[in-house]
Amino acid sequence: MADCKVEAILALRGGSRSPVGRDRIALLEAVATQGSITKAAQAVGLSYKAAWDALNAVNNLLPRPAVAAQTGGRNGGGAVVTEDGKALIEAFHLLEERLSRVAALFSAGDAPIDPILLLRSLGMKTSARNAFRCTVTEIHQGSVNAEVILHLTDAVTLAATITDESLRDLAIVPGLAVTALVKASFVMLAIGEAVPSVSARNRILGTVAHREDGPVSCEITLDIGGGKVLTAVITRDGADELGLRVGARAWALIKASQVILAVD
Amino acid sequence: MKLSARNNLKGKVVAIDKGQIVAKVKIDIGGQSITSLVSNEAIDDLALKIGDDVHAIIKSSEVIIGK
Repeated sequence: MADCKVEAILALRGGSRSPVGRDRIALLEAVATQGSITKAAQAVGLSYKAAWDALNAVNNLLPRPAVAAQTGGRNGGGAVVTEDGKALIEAFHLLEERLSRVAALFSAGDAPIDPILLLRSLGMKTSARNAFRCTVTEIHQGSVNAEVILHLTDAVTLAATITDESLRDLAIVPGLAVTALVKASFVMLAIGEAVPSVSARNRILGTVAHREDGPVSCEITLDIGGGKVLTAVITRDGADELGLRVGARAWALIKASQVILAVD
Repeated sequence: MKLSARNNLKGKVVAIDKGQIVAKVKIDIGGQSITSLVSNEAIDDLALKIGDDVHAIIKSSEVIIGK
C-alpha cells in the first residue's frame, strides 16, 4: 500500500496544487531537453493546454519562474528552463531519494502512524485555479478580521482579509511565505486605461494570454508579469462584451475577502 | 498545509457533471449535499472521481445566512 509516488509529490511543500510532483518535474525535464512546450507535452503524453497550465502553476508558486516561454498562442514558441527551474529539478530528485529511504523505514513497521495518511494531510490539494506563492509584508488587524498584504511580484501586491482566528491559527506574521488561493470564478475582469474605480482591493493589470470558450463560461488566462498568470472564469457574454481576445489588456479585480491563505 | 478558510467540511463526492469549461460536483456532507462548481482542469488535477473523500472549503465571508 505504500505508494512512493504520492509520498514524493507531497513532500516538496509546493503549496496547494502540488506543482512539483513527479509528473510536473518530468514535464520540466522534457522542456529542458526539447526546448519547446509543444514537444515537451508530446514527450510526456499531455495536451499542449495541460502542459501549459501545469508549467504556469509551477511558475506561480515559485519566487521566480521555472520556465521562460512565449505564451503567445496555442502552439506556443520556444521555452527554456531557468536556473531556478533546474535547481527545482535537482532538489526534487534529491528529496525523492531521501523520501524513499524514509518510506522504507515506515514500511518496516516502526512508524506509530500511517505514513500515507500523514503525507496526504501534508499535501492537500485544492480545486482553486490560482495558487500564488507570496510573502506577507503587512498586517492590519481589526477586532474581527485582519487585512494581510502580500508581495506577489515586484509590481503586484495582493490584499487578503481573513478572520483574526485564522491569523492566529496560521501564525501569520510579516515575512512569512504563504500561498494565496483564488478560485477562478471569483476573478472579475475589466478593461480601460485607468485603474478601475471599484472597491475591490486587488486590481491587477494583465494581458490575455489564452482564452477558452464553453457554451456559457469562458476561461481567460491573464499574463500579469513576473512570470505569473491569473486565471478567470467569466461568462462568455461578458468576455465578448469586453472584447477579451488574446493580446488584449485587462484588469483582474479580486475582493480581498475572496483570497484564502494557506501555510505549509 | 493549513488554510485560513474557517469552514472545512468533510464529505464524499457523489456526482460529477462535466461541462466544456466548468464541472458541477456534488458532495455529500453527512446526509446534506453541497454543490461546487470548479473548472474541468481542477477535476483532472485532483483526479476527482465519484466516491472520493474530499473537503468542501468555504471562506466565512462567502456564507449567506437565511432564516
